[in-house]
Amino acid sequence: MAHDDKPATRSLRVAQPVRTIARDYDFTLVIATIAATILVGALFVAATVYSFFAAQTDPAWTETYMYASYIDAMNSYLFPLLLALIVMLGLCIPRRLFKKRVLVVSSAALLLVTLLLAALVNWRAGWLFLLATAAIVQLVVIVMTAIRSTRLTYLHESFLIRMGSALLHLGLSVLIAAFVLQAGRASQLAAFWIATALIMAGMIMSFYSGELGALRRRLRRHPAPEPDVEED
Amino acid sequence: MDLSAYLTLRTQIQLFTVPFALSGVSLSLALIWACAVSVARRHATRLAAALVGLFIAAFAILAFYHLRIYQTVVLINPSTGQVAGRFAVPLWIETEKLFFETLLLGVLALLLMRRERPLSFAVGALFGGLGLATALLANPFTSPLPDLHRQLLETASALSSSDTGLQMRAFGQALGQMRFFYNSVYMWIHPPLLFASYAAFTVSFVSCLFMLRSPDHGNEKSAYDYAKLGYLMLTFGILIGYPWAIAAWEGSPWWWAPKINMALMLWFLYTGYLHSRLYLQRRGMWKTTAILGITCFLALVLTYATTYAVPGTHSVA
Repeated sequence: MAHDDKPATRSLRVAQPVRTIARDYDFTLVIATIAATILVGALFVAATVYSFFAAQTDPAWTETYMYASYIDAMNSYLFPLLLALIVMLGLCIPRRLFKKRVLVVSSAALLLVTLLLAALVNWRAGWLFLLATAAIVQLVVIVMTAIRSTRLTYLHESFLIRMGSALLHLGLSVLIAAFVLQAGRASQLAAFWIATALIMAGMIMSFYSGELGALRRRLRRHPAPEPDVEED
Repeated sequence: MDLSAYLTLRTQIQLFTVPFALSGVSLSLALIWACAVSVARRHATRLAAALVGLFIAAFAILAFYHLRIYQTVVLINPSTGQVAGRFAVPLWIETEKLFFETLLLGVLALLLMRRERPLSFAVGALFGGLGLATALLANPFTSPLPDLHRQLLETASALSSSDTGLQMRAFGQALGQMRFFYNSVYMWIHPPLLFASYAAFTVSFVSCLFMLRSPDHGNEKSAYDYAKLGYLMLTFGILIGYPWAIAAWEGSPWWWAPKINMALMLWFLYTGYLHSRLYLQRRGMWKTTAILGITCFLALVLTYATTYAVPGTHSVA
């Protein structure tokens, strides 16, 4: 980018840094997301290594108290990383709706309230607040995407990619809620299937928007013949 | 529980061991040679088609074997004398895992080889390597479905005893295995989706290796196309495993089990890879993305090996 500055006019010089800042924000979010996913991956590897050595010491260790403490410990390591991922989703998705400064401040406030609720009430209350807020914001984004609102800003122009991305991120919030908040409850499976449907629909729309768009255009060009109507 | 027809059939199926091994080894070696040596590349597609054909023929024989198991092995409730069920055994378990995985990769390799480019030949050579490993180390005809076989023999022996308690215990165990494992609808969806995702990720991995060699967007596109196909199937495969785990492992500790950890690790790593690809034009991101794609595949191999190396639910270690 710096090399291109030389022949630029004054107006271009003003315009370029704005674009760079916006891109840097997106890029930083992407790098942070990658780092978080790698850390979560590393945690799962560490858990597997621990399981391996625990089983070497006592093959029936999953039937002892050790297994319960292992699960508690692993959950306590995983939850902060999940929290970070949800906050990043919060910074990622509503950026289509709000300005960056509003987003960063509101995300910090969201995180603070979550941590306060977890400390003062319990961790379940914190999660409930965070996930419910994330889901509501993402639901608003979906509705605005569906009505093709011009207030939203996306990296991609395709309606299918926009809709797919919004559905996918809502599905992830619902899925995390299903696991974290409703363990052992009957509604967990219902929430799980809703999340699965949202995630899969979102992925297909995001990944195959070109193919789906082409299919739609072909169907419009060659509509199915109307069924014959029998004459009485 | 009369196993005479089943035992005769099993012996007949084992007769295919040597023909499959011989033809598999020779076709695999020929394919590897054709993909590796440039003057022989014009034969590569035909050899890959022949190897895929061999695997499809073997798959058909195995499918017939599974069908006959369903028809001949009947589990009878010892207390009522009524038929409790039949074993509908899927075609991708036990000794058939690597065979099935190789078949799927073979189909992808054949599709790629319609266009002659270095990537296609590399995937073809990998298919040849896996074909060789299957024929030599994981021949599904050598000892067909050994765990099911052992369980059937044990159940038949227990059911023929005069001890009613022993009979009922063996019957309950076999019925549980039948309902929640072999005949479960999830068993017919969850593993094949994961195996298909592994095949797609293998092509993505080879493309990432090529990305390190040269900044060719064709290779990057292949890496992404196959990674997203694999990711789609991996995601649905993992998700569909959850309701199955609830039903089959109720009361057993399965959360944070080694294989599940590794599968989730794989999912998170591929999530990272797909995100890193968004900024390929940034300095250093091309190489980072390629290395991440390669790391993801190494994690896949580790995930596959966990089943055999680390004890736990979901494991045969």
